[in-house]
Amino acid sequence: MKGFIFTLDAAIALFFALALTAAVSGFLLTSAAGPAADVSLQQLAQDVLTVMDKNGTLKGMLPAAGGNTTAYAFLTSVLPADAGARINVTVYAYKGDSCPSDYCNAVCGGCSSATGFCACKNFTVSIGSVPSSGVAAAQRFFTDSSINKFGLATIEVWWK
Amino acid sequence: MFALVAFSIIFSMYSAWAVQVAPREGSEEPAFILASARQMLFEGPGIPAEWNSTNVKVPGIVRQRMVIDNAKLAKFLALNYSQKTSLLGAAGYDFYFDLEWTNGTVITSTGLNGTNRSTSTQSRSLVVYNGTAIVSNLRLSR
Repeated sequence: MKGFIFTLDAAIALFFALALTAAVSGFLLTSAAGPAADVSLQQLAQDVLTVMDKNGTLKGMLPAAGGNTTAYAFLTSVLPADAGARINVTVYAYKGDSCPSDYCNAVCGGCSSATGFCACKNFTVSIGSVPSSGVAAAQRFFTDSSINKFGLATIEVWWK
Repeated sequence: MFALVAFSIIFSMYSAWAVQVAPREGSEEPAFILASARQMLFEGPGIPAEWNSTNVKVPGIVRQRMVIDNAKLAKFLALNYSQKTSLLGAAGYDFYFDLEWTNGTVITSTGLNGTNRSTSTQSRSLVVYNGTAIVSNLRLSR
C-alpha cells in the first residue's frame, strides 16, 4: 500500500511538472515576434529610405550643410508611434571635372587640393535609443550628378 | 499509473502544439496575403503595365516603385470590390485599402473596414503621393 501511494504521488508530481513545462514553453515561444513581424520591420526600414529618396528628401541634403533637422522632421512625421529609428547620412563630393564653390569645397580643402572623393558631411539622427536586439536596417545610395555629390543613408528601425 | 503518465505526456504535447503552432498558422496567413498585395500594388506598374478593368492581372498603382500614379490609382479604386479582392488574393476576407496623410487624415479609401469582425490584420506602407510621403493601409478582417 505504501509503495502504491508513493508511486501515485510521483505520477501526480510528474503530471504537474509536464503541464508546467508545456505552459512555460508555450508562453515563451508565442511571446517572440513571428516572421511577419520581422518582415514588417525590415519593410519599414526600406520604405522610409525609399520614400525619402523618391520625394527628394535625401537629395535635398546633398548641396547644403545640415540636414539633420530635415531628417528628424521626416522621421517623426512618417514613423508609427510605436517605432524608433536612427539614421546616418554621409555625403561625399567628387572634385573632378568641376568643383562647385560650396560647403563641401570648404570642408574638403578647396578646389586646389587633390581631386577625388571627399566625405564632407556626416550626421546621425535618432528617435529613441537603439535596443540591443530586434533592429532592422536598410541602406540607400543617392546621388546628384549635376553637383558631383552622392550620399549613403543607413537607417535602423525597431519597435519600442 | 502508466495511463496517468501517458495521459500527462500526451496532454503536455497537445498543450505545446495548441499554444505554439495552431494560432500561428492561422494568424500568419493574412499577413502574407497583405505582403503579397502590397507588392502587387506598390512595387510595379502592374500586369499588363497599361492595365484596365478588363485585362488586369496585377493591379499595380505605381509607375516607379512606391510612387503612386494618380491615373492607376483611379483605375484601381474604380474596380469593383470582388475584382479587387480576387486580384489581390484576399477573397474570403473583408479587404480595406486607404491612403492617408501622415497626420492620419484619410485621402481616399475603398473596401470594407471590418469593424464588426473578430480578427483584423493590417499592413502599413510609406509611399509617395504627389511628391509627399504618405501612409497606405491595407487591412484584412474576418
